[in-house]
Amino acid sequence: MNDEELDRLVAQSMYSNTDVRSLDLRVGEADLMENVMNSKNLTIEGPQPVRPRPPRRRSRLFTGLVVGAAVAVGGGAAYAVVADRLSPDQAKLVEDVGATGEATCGISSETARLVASTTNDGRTIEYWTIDGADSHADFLFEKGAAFGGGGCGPMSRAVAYPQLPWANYTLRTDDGSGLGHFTFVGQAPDGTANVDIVTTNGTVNVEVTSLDGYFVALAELPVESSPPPSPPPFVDLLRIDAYAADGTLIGTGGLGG
Amino acid sequence: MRESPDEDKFRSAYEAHARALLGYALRRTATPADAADVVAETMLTAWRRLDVVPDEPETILWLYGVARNVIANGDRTHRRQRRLAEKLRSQLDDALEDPPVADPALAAQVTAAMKSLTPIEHEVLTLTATEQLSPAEIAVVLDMKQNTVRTHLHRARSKLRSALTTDASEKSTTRAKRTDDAGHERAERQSLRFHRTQGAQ
Repeated sequence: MNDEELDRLVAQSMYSNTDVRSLDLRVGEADLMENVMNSKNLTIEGPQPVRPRPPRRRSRLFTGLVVGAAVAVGGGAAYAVVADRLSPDQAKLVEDVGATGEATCGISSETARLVASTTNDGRTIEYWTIDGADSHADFLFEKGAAFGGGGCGPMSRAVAYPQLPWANYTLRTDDGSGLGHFTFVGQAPDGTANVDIVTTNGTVNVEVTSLDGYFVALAELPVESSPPPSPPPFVDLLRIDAYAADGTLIGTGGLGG
Repeated sequence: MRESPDEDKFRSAYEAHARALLGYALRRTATPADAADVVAETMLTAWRRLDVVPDEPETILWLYGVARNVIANGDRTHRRQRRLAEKLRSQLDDALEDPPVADPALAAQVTAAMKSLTPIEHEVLTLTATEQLSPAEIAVVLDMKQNTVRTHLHRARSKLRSALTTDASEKSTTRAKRTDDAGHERAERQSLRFHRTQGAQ
């Protein structure tokens, strides 16, 4: 079988462009185009809290504290705003996490660093890290909103994450549709272009664009869930594979933190 | 009322490429409704970032790149919440009642064989075979070097040939081994979600 025959076989196994072009979708397409062009005034659901939760295997990432969702709006004006990005409320949360909980981490919002972000449906989730000689912290915040959370550990990042790549995840919400919405964060070694996060419920591919290999992604995975008061659904992270741009496997790791 | 240059540019891009984009999305999502939402999200990105949308003939390559990221993000519920594509979803559901391929058995065989490919090999081969892009164009969509694209394409074709040959020789054995195991079902669904190319629901 030559290349052309093989390609033809592949094309025949999928929707063809000819088939798609023949569909009468004029009403739907015109409606979509108008909706998009009027989207500047689009009303969507308001921001929802990002709620970091510990994965089934307890992670050192969140041993310091698992922080609830809402950060009080209007408070914390005395806290530093880092690089004009971390809001006063977010900075206050960082300071609170560093000072309370199971361990005192000694972190400061003034050294918080934005390492990765992802935008979905107009919402941007930012991944911030804080590193000290004997402490580290990871936070997820929704840009421009007073929602977020994270945790810290009283050890250096190198101790907490001895191996790259690693990934961790937080359960964000479950709408009862049988799909769970997860926020994945992690770090991959130098030269990584994308990672495959392999879970019991599927594989999530994430492009890695940060210079330091950090990434954050929102993903939807099929989960089996039960109505409250049953616990929220979990997935187990099996491994993470880091790939170079040419598809070469650079390294494999697991749950970090 | 006279439209602004931005509106002209967007309408031109939409009319020229929305259908190709829909085909691209249909081949990579689990349901027609998902595909409609991917088109909506992609065109919304184009509208909001019109200043960076390249002129023809690279417009469609840019749109494919955005659509690829939209699908990779996988946040289907939030795309659905925008309600941009409700009519298109409804029309698609009505229009695509028939099986999406002429020969479902052959399509299933090819789809199964394509699971032997890495995600990037799968994408390069699909862009070649169905979007009919050249390696140079695929390099733009995937933001990689042409030589890398050619390497992936070569590997993809070799693997697919091998898998199809193996599949043909072991067909009866494979059939006997199939089960309704829930794990298998999950794996199947996931494969459809992220690497899907066939339209079987």
